[in-house]
Amino acid sequence: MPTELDNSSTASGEASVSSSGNQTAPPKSTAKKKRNLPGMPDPDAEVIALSPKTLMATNRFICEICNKGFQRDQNLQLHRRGHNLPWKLRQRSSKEVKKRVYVCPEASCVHHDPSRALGDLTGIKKHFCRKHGEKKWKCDKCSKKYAVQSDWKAHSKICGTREYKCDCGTLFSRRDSFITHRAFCDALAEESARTQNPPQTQNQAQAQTAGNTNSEPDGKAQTGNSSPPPQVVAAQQPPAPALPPPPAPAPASAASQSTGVLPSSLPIQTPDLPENPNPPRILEEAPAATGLNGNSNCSTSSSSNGSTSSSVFASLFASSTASANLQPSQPPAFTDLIRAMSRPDRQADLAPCSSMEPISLGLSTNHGSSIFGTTGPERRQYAPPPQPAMSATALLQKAAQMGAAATNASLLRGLGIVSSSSTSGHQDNMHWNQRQVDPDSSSVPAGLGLSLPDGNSGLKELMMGTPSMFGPKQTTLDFLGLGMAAGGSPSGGLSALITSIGGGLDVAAAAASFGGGEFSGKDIGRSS
Amino acid sequence: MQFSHETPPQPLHHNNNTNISSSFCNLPMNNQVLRARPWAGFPTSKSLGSFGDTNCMEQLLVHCANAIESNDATLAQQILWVLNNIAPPDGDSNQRLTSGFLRALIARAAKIGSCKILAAMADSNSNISFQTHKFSIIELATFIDLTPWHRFGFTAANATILEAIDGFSTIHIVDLSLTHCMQVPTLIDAIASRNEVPPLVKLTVAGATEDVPPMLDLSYEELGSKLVNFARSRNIILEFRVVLSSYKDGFSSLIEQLRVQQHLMYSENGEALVINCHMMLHYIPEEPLPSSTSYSIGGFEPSHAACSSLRTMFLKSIRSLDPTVVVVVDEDADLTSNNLVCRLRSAFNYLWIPYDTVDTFLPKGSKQRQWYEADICWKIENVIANEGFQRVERLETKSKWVQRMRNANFRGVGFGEEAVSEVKSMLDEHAAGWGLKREDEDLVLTWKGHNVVFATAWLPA
Repeated sequence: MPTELDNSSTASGEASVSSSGNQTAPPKSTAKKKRNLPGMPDPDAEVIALSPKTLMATNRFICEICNKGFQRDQNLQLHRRGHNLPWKLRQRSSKEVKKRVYVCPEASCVHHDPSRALGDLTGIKKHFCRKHGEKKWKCDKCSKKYAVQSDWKAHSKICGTREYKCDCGTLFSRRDSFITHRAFCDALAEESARTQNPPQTQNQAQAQTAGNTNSEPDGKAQTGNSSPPPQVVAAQQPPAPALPPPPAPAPASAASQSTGVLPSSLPIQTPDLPENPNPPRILEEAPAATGLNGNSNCSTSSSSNGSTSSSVFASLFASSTASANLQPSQPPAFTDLIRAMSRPDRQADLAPCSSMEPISLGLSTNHGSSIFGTTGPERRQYAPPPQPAMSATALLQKAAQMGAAATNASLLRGLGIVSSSSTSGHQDNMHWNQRQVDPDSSSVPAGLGLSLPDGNSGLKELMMGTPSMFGPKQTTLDFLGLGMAAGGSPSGGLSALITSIGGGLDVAAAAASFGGGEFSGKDIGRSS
Repeated sequence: MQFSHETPPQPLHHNNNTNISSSFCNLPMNNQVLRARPWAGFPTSKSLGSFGDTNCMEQLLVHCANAIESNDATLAQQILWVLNNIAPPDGDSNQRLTSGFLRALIARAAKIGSCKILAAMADSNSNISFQTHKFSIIELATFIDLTPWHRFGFTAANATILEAIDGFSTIHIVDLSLTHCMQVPTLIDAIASRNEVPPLVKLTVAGATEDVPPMLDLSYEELGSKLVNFARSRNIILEFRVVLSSYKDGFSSLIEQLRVQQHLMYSENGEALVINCHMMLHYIPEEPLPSSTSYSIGGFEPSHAACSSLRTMFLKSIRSLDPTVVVVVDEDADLTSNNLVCRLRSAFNYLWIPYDTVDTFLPKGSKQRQWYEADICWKIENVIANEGFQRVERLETKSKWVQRMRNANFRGVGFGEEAVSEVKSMLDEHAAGWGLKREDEDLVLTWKGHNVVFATAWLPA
């Protein structure tokens, strides 16, 4: 049993108590029992208990001449040479160096128990410091505090440096994950909303929020109609810079489901760059379709010629949208779409869509709709009156009915409108099976497993001892799941089993037939 | 696997076997108790050293699959019982992998086999079933960066795309990706950084793919608006559109849409069409279509309809759009066999990889790890327990895909040094087991030397 002594003989490299003067109180010494528990590195190790003071003390060896402190006796001795004092370096003891482990002086600590002692003096020092010591070191960039100086140093090296920080506070060490996160983080949305606000009108901001938060329709409808509706209507004639607003994602969620479906086909486009100060805001061009349009307020369009936002597909009912999109670079997308909507039969040149109703406007019905731009002549063709918009509305309503009738349930589901996610058909299957199966029957497999160790006899016993089990009056399924009452016909399994029993087939042998021969052979055979 | 608590109603003759039998009956044979010795002499799971061996587990699974296929209920049950004993769902990686397969086999037997006892087991088993998680968009962004599984493909693809679209004033990206546009932000960022005058970027996605994990709890419209917003912050005008189209019909509506746009498009400097396929193409059915069916994808009728599949036709349709560049990134494994046992072997010898990769750094109890493994279990179940159209995970090897692309009149292009070094430095940030291999012109992500994901780039030939 290792005995605990004063520190002179146990603590490595420590001088005798006398040399340390009044600095340290004599360390507590306790006799500890050896425990041979798993995880304990060395049951023969000497357990050393040092007092907190001793642990925390840094320089315990003081030179008597100059009062310089040293952490190790050896260092002190070497220093004494300089004073021409007698010095003696302790030799490594001839006997085998005993492994030493240290316990934490804090009574409530798990490492206070010798069986959980730590093997390293530095380790126990750091542990005590970290866990039970005062956190004196504080990172100046963040608020983290550390008790051990080396920890603090290590942290401040990486704190905030070379790390990407999103506005929401998350840190990334890699740029690509930072970019990916940032693109979808709400913090970006807020920031852009803020930057958008000053140069742009309310609509923009609303568009942003609409875009980002799927807000309710009425707000949009108002803005939609309020701001420059005259311009909008006027957009029927070729307005110079007017552009239709990009469709908001909000439309998808706003209004009725049917309209919700539509905008899913609408490409969403960024409004022009913030540098454009006064783009005329054109929202819902077609007042007739306001009811539905109201939701598509989204952001306003900007008028810059440079912007190819002409290919904006804002509100599809915007008949004037088309004319509004008189941009040299990219003619509007939706013109033809809308045209197509109103005069679907005209688009004979295009392959008719399989089963898509008009509800899937832009989706797979390409009645000649150019999505990303049209040529000049087609544009002009589009100048005409709101009537297309009217029929657009009518079409939409019709589509809504059809959609509501769930003729295209998968379509709706695909749009996320039907929120139930069918995890998979198989689960339904399982439930179905569940209803059919009597839970009692599941007890029977116990009998099956049972029979294994018994070899053949048990199984035969089972079979012969309880013929009634298979009788029709049993409502439970027999152990092969062939409840006659349940109307199951003998499955292949049962007949195979009966044949095998009849044939005297050893079930254990059958079990042995699959891999791991030693398993079945030995273990089953070995059952007693 | 759970057997009922009640003792079976059969009266047993009293003999020297009774004690074991009845005590055995009385044991509630749930997972926990099963780990105690069911009968004297049965090795405990701890001492089942040899059974913890992956090979052994694979063998057992194979035998079980055979038993189920041949409708041998007894044998199947026995093996399932053993498997359940040696592969608890909360064990180590191999055990969890095996447990996933075990569940899938039970589900299969319940659905397809005529063995009702397995149905009972499946029912009780479903209590332990997994639920795939519906990710928020931010969760998904973090999730896909846990390992290089996806980021590898993103990085390689983006590098190639950037090169290919150089000089175009309009870029149309068609993103067919399992990861719901997670590749797009970095691509937009790269486009923005590269060009003085940023081009117009159009992004088209197929919006009907919400039935395979990872599932997103955000609508594509909202997703799109976020992307548009982000693009604006990088001075790029982004047009986002969702086309409802599913892999089930080879993205027919999408192709149609693209074709129509092309006909009517007018662009001065030309528009670059980029088709980015990230682990999505393997859902398109690859079974040969009956030759009597006249089938067309997007109005395109292939000449050899007789031996065509939707997959083949899709690729030909893509080719007919004359894209600027096509990137195909997918998982390198073959899960298309019609033979269950073959499929099981292939799946087992591939899907151990994702389990292993997260083992190194995600703690067992972590949510992300649960989500990740739930998604893998979904795939396992899809491959093993389903047939026909429901079996959607139809992975093919890289060589098969390369062959397909060549048949569709594409020629492969290599990845530049820049791309390779970018991928390498990305891999350095992850666990040590990840590696990069170049095979001909393609890049392959490896884990401990095994092929995981391949990335290939194609131009019209």
